[in-house]
Amino acid sequence: MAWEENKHIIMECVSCGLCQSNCPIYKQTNLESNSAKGKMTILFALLQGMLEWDEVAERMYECTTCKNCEATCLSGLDIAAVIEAAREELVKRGYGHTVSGELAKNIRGTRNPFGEDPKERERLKRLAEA
Amino acid sequence: MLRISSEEQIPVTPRGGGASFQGSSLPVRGGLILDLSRMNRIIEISDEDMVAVVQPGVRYETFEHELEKRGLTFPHDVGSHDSATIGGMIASDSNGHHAYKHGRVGPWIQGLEVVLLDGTVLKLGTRSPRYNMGYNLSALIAGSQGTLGIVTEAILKVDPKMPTSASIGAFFQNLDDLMAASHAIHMSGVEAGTLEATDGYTVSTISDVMGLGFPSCEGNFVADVEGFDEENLQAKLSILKRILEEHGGEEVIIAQDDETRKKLWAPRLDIDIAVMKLQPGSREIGFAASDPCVPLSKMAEAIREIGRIIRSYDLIVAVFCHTGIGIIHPAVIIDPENEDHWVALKKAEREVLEYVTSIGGVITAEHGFGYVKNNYVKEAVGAVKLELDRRIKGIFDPNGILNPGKMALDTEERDAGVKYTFPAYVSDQDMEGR
Repeated sequence: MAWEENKHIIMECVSCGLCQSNCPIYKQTNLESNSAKGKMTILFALLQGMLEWDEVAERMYECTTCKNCEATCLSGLDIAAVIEAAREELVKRGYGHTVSGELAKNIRGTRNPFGEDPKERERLKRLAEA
Repeated sequence: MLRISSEEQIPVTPRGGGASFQGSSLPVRGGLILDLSRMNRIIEISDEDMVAVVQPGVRYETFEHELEKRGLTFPHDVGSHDSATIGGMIASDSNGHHAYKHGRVGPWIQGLEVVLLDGTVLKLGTRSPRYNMGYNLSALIAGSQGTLGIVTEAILKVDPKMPTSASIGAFFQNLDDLMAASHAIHMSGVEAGTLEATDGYTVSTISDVMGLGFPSCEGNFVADVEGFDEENLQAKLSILKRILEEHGGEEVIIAQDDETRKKLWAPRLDIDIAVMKLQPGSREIGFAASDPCVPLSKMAEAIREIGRIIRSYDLIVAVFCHTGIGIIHPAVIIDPENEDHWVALKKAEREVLEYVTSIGGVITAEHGFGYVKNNYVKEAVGAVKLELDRRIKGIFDPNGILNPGKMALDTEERDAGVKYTFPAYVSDQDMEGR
């Protein structure tokens, strides 16, 4: 789905803030920009040309996509889908998460996300079996 | 921070949950946002003194859940639920859904701690139930929308929570009959918690969208009622049912379970979202005519006329109201990227407010002025009151840095020099001649 197709979901957010009551990230930081309401406001500003992609990247990665916000959303919006679409667009534009990039590189190089030597895995496996 | 901001003339906009409908907590002049949501401790709940001591960032429903554990309530269930903070509710002098019975938040304030711009701390009231000591400054702070000082602690009156409750509703072919029923309930002595109505368009739209099977009507009515036991509750419901039927109420629904209650309240609580679903890309706009109040005898006429005026501009509007306290909410849905919709909205807004004033009403009774109503304030309150308000503001905030641009305290313009979110927005200046 093209990124712009999420616009109607972003527009449907009425900024009521009910999403804040059970967002695990918001509960930790109490920053409005960490809640779904804040993220939809940020993405709306992006769509309106008031923010650039590099300015929104950090907040888009600060989401567990647990969908707790959807459970309390007055409009029943699939916020997690919007966040994932935004992340996809961020990656396309070269703003992938540094940790994700490292994990991908490790998987390509060593077939595991930790960058460990595959032989070490075999050794540990044998040890466990023994 | 306030002292330095005042000396350096840096605007400071206090913010609670940011759920205001009139932009009260938007920093329209830039500067600092003072986000109070982290001051979220419930310091004390005293069953003996019937008070709670709270910080301003406590969320309403979180507070209410803690009170309910002790059989208590702070019965000001605002429409913004858990996104509203106690500080925001005090700053807005909020009306909850049950304001018909319990009134505004202001009279429930027993004491306040307010930080003034020079950094001094003003203490008002105590945990004693009453005081009468000079000017009632707590009442002044309530509804001041953060323009006078920062509330950092509040001592709030709490009430016993009634153990049983129910909702009752009916459909009317005539809004005059509906209002007569509402008045008869008021006069019956059965103390309902709230008396609410929605217009026929709202009922049919929500019924279609949610598949509720409601009958066609000119309006539906809902009341909440509480009882000290089941027998008391049933006695009250029986009286309300009789009154509704005697006044032509059809298909009376009594809701004591959550599912039926949600259905009964759907036209009132879910309509704006339902209409927005029907019009993807559209938004409900917090415009200046969103909360007028009219004399109770004019309610039926006003519900019809306000809907007629707004629809005459080809705008979509759902009208709902608090029949017990005269407040009417037209929820207007527009396409914010359509310039014609903004022009129509502004014309409709002006016509609605002129109509409301002509029948003895007031332009706002719930959401307050914020900045959205700046251009109507002087007409609404008169030059003498506006001048007094500005002098009061000057005593607390001589440099005008606390929440500037609000309540017409320093300007009667609402959109001059503001960066618009929607390029299609038509400013008041651009409305001239249109």
